[in-house]
Amino acid sequence: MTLAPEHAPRMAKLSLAERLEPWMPLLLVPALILAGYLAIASPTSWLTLTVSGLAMGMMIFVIASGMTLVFGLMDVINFGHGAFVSFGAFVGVSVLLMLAHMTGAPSLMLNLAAFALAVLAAMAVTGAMGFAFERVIVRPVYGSHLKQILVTMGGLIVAEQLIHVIWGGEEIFIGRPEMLKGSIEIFGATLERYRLVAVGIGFVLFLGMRAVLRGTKIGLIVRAGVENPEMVQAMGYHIRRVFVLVFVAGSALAGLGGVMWGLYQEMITAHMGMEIMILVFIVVIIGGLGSVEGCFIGALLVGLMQNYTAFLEPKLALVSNIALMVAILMWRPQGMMPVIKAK
Amino acid sequence: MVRLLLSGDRPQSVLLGALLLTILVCLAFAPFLFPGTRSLETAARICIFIVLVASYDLLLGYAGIVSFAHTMFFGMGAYGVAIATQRMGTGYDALAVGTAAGAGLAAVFAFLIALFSLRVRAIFFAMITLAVASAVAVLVSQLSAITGGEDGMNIRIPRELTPAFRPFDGPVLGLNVNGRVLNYYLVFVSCLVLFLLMLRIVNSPFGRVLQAIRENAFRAEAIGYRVVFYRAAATVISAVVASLAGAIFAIWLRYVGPATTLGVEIMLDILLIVVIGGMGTMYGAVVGTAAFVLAQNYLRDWMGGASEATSFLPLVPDLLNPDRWLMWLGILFILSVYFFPTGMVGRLRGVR
Amino acid sequence: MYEPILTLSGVHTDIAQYQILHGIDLTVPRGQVTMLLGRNGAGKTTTLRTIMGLWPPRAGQITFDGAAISGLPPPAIARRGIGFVPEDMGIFADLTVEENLILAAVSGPITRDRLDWVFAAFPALATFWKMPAGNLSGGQKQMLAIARAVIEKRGLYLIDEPSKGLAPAIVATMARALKDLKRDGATILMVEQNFALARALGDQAAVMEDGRIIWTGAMAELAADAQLQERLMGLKMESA
Repeated sequence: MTLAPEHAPRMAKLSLAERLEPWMPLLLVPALILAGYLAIASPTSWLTLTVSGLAMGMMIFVIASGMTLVFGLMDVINFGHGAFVSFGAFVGVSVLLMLAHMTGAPSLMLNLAAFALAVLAAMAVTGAMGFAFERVIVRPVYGSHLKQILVTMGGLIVAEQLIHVIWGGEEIFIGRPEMLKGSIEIFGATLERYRLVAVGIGFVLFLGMRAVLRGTKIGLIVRAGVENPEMVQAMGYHIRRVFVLVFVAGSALAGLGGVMWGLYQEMITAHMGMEIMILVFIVVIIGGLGSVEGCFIGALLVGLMQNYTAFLEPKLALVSNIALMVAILMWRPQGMMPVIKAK
Repeated sequence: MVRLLLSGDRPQSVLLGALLLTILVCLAFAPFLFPGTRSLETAARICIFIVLVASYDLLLGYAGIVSFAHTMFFGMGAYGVAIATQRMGTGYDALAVGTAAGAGLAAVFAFLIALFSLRVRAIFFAMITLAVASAVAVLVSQLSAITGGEDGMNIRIPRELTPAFRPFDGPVLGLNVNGRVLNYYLVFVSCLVLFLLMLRIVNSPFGRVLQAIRENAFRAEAIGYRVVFYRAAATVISAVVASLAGAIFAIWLRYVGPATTLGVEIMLDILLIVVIGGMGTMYGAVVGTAAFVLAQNYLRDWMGGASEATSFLPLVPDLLNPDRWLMWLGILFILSVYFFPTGMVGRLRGVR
Repeated sequence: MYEPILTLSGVHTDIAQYQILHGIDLTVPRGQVTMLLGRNGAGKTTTLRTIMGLWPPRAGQITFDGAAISGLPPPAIARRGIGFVPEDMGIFADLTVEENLILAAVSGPITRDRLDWVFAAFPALATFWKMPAGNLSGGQKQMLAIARAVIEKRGLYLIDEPSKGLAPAIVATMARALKDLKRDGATILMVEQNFALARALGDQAAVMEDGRIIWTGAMAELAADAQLQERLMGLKMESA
């Protein structure tokens, strides 16, 4: 018996076109930015809007990524995901209000430390909530989309009401930490510092998530499980445990998104999670259910579209995103980066 | 005769039959049995919500599709009437045109959404309807030139349907019959007809195919039914009936606004009633609505009292605050989906 | 007599309301290749999936390596040392060949000698190492599916129709690899419709019909008796 291969191995490479094809949707982002440039005559406004669009897109991505993976992995559609956004925002903002001496100080280190503490608290609470939510609300209704939608919607209502019980009925206004206030000027365009930070955080998270999904065994199990959960099981992995992990991580990320979103709006309400979920749904659908990359591109598109249209014709901001969804689904009915599902 | 009217779909339970009959009698003679503006309002609201909820049940219970755009269709009917009377002046023709226009718009929207999302994946429907409904709600509150914006629109209806009109000189059966009572009967009769019509639809071969699809879409497709077509048709029928209910609501209320027709709260109410009443039974809409509207009126008062009585305890009074009524409904809703998926009607019929 | 590694006794399996397996009794001897034969729809795939716990049995006992495994979840069964190659191969198309194999090595990193073995048996996998498995041809996917099962030494390999829909040349590669595996002392329970392949590889044979085992014995005995083959499987072999 010989160990030598029968013919000399050559590392096969895909042709350029083959490599580019799945990334076609990525080109939509610059295309949309360009279209925005043409539609908005003023370059400085365009730059400002592009940055806020990207910031918004990143935040939507942070919120949507968990939802799309939860769907991909266990075919669970969670309408209650918005509850984690709201809860995260309220917990995070409460912490920030408690740490007023840190957020008010003109020191970037203290500000970031306060922000980090708020984020950690929010993620811990929403992660724990996610664990409970999965166990109590979602687990009994596996396999039935109808019941999942109904029950998770019910869970969302209860969670929203709980926020009212705990924090009172009104919205809370929150100022950004001292050093994240204000804006800088580049090429004559005013760019809010916080938005730039949000873009940074979102991008780092995306890269981190990609690294986990591609470079770790858990990541491989998640990606394989999205495609064919049964085979993952038959290989010896308890996909349920991985699913709970993803659910908790997704909930924590939604909590993080809630804090970011709350500081972006400088105001939080119990209903904010539900409101943002509308954009999240659009993102998840156009990205391709279960696809993190598609979700990222979709979130950027939706964020940009929302900001450009809000500038051009405020009434049509949401309508334009629905139009975007319609257009993309006409092009690719399963979303931009559909996940190949076994069976 | 009764059998024919009910399209052979009998209540199958003495208790349920008695309950339905009681509700029917109460609604039919509401102006005489419960005189007073407030109770007449409640009765008309029950009538309209029965139709609205039943039309939602047609979609959720029979076709197994979750929609969050039902209030949008409801609103289309209501705004149709409002806009038509504003443009065409007061008159029955305006009411008819408005109703028809609202129904037509609802049908077109429903058809497009259904074709678009059901073709791809049935679960997209829930998400897409949520997005579209919010977009429409935003538009309605912002396009104030057409819709009156957040303030809504007052509707002028023919004099015969207003309290100022008095057809008889004296009281009839002890009641001073005025145009408002006539208006109530317009509501009652229209709603009864619409309800019986829907009962007919779900008990027709079409309705049976819908149920077959709900149980197993693949099998239905394999047998040769075009699933997308049937689901789209159910969506359109459901939307049109909802818009008709909206038109009736507008004529009754003589006002339409975003909160009264398009609000998220109303959508949640519909969902709760269908599930608690019993999905896929039609009669669930009747008993569910009656129970829900009555509970809404009395339970809230009770919660207020209980909240005050427990004010010395921590947290409990906040939980019992009447404003938190929705939370208890949410919990009830979740429990219903788990433990009583067939709802009140299922219980009464002794199913599971 | 060989010592049995896997025993099924009185196994009944239902799928939805349909009864598929009606009391399967089967013994797989250690170190042997057992062929599961029979017509389409006889219940061969269901038997393998039942052993894996993917369609748990309604009644009956399955013991593997001396312990009962019926009723355990699939991951627990797999971790006791059963490698599974399903009928549809179960390739993760979005993952690269490398990632597919990393995932298949449940208990740790891939060992050098197993990898060498895989590359020697299936050189194509080395060629397409960094390529998404979805881009492989049907035959290469089947090679990857088998490679995933054998990337770790396991007590039993369940292989469902490895030759299905493949070109003869690829079937030959596959057969070579499986023979190599067999020489290594592996225990295999394999479903195969290609009788020539089954005869070449099998030590034992079990024939199924309507959810029951209707014949068991040595493969050589079945291969030598054309009448028996025809009676059991309705097939005729023209030449020896």
